[in-house]
Amino acid sequence: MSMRSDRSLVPQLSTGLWYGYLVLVIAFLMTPLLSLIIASFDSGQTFSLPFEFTLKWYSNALTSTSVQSAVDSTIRISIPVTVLSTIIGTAGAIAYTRYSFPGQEYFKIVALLPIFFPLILLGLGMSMWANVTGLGYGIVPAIIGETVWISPIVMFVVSISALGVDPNIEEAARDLGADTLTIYKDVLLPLIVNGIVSGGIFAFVLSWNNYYIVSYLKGSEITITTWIHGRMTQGFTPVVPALASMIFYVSLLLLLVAVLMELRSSR
Amino acid sequence: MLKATNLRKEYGSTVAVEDVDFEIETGSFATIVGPSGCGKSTLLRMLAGHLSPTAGQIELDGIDITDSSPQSRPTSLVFQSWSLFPHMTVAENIEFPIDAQGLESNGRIETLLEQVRLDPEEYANKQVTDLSGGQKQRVALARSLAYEPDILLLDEPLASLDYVLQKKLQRELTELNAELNTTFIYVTHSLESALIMSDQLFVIDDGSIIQRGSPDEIYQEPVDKFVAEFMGDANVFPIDVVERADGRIRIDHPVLEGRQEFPYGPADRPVPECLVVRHDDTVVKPSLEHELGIPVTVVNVLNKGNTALVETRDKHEDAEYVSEMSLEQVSDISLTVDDDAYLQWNPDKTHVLPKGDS
Repeated sequence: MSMRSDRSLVPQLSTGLWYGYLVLVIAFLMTPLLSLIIASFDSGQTFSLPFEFTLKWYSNALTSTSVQSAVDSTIRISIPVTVLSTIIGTAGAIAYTRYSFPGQEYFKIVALLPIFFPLILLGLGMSMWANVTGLGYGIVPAIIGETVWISPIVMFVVSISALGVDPNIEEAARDLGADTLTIYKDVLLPLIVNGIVSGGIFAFVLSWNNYYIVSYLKGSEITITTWIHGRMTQGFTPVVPALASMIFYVSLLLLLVAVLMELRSSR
Repeated sequence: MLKATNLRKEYGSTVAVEDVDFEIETGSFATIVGPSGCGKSTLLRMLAGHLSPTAGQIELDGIDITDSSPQSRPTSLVFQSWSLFPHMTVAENIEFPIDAQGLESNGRIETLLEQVRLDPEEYANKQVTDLSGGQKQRVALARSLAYEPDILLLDEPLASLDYVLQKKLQRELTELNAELNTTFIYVTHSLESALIMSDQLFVIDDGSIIQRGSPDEIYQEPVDKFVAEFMGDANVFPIDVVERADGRIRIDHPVLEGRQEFPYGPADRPVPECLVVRHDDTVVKPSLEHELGIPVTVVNVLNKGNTALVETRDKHEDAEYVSEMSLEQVSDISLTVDDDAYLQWNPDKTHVLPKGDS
């Protein structure tokens, strides 16, 4: 074998390994989700073969009062969290990307810190803090807790958009006579609106799917994730995979929208 | 008239612009030229109001505008990257300053587009992202002129365009300047643009104005080695001054043959350090025919189209020089590589210069 073919073997091998790795990742990621979805359509009390198709569990999930109240609590948390973290995250992103100030890099590290904290510890810490400060537990503490965790993620998403905007654009607008309000309203915000919307979608999905923070701070409220967790530990019912699948469908749809918006804005 | 007095900008311990003074007549085309990082853009941003000077004063027609905001001063800046609003159409971009300043726009957009040689019917409703570089440049110009500024500041706006388009837009800019009663202040590192367009030229380096005057004055009489080298392709010969008296100097150069005395004044001018001769003021010939010359070996002959660059090496000192000659001259003498010859010139074309700060 010549030297030449020896050398071309290495990239081939590494490409092969890379594809193999990709297949494994998808298999590990998708198999549990896929089995959950299949189980949600199976008529048995526990998932077993032979498979028999039904929509019963979906209709049970949609009509169950406990599920309805869990969805209601989740929405009462997710919507304020989405609004708050989108505002805070966007403000942070604008500050970080469009202004220069002393300690800018430290600001980024501190702002992104909550993302790198294990959620279970973050939830525990927040729970202790809620107790110490007398804030207590319930919808409002859950909203505050989730906002603390989600705002940096929104900041990250909006920053990507804001970094893509011409660095001189505000200066150009100011030079042409625009006041600060006009610069934001007519120039900067329209240019990063796709980033803000995807940030908001991310915020909603993350809040919707959150378990750890909400389980520590919710008090007596039951949200979708805590309801599922409860059912998993005390009395499994096939409504669980149906509800979990529905959450997955909603998340998938929203993430798809977010990705499409990002693609459109980067075009 | 725009007047700057002792204008200074410091960033911590770095001085970006050092005590600059100038006066620019209303309606003229002034160019600030200098190498990258010389402080020219900082100077322009101070004139636009985007940077506050550390010290000094800017006056427009006798009114102090040093501290007025960019919105309120009658200047408009065209950015190097144009900074058009990508989510707006051509017409919306031009309308932006008209709306922001609360002016009436009736017919103004069409007039402005015509002024910058864009057909209003074809371009007004186009998205700016669909335009070519040259068209974007024209829209940026129209947008900056929309509220009739007294002074148009241009920060190398042609730098990213191709050569032919640059030439075309340079001509159009000078025409526009003549048409309007607006002062144009153009910042560039390109000497060629500076020479073509300006009435008034400021050569700047290390934050200070080194020389000012008409392009012709500066080209013909550079004050020091820096300006001479910056203004045009030139050969530099380091010299030692042996005697200086009565506005003349006598020099000592190991290989320079011919005249060794040159006029040099006034008496308080710094000691000269070099002779500078432009490439196109020299010729390379087998024997010494001019009053000044240096024995060289031909290293390379490059055809530039209408002229040829003859690269030579000093026989003794190993320094390299260039002569720009007509193609006829080169073929008449039939110069080839490794020929022994003289790089020579008329002593009148010699600039005897101090080194300069840089």
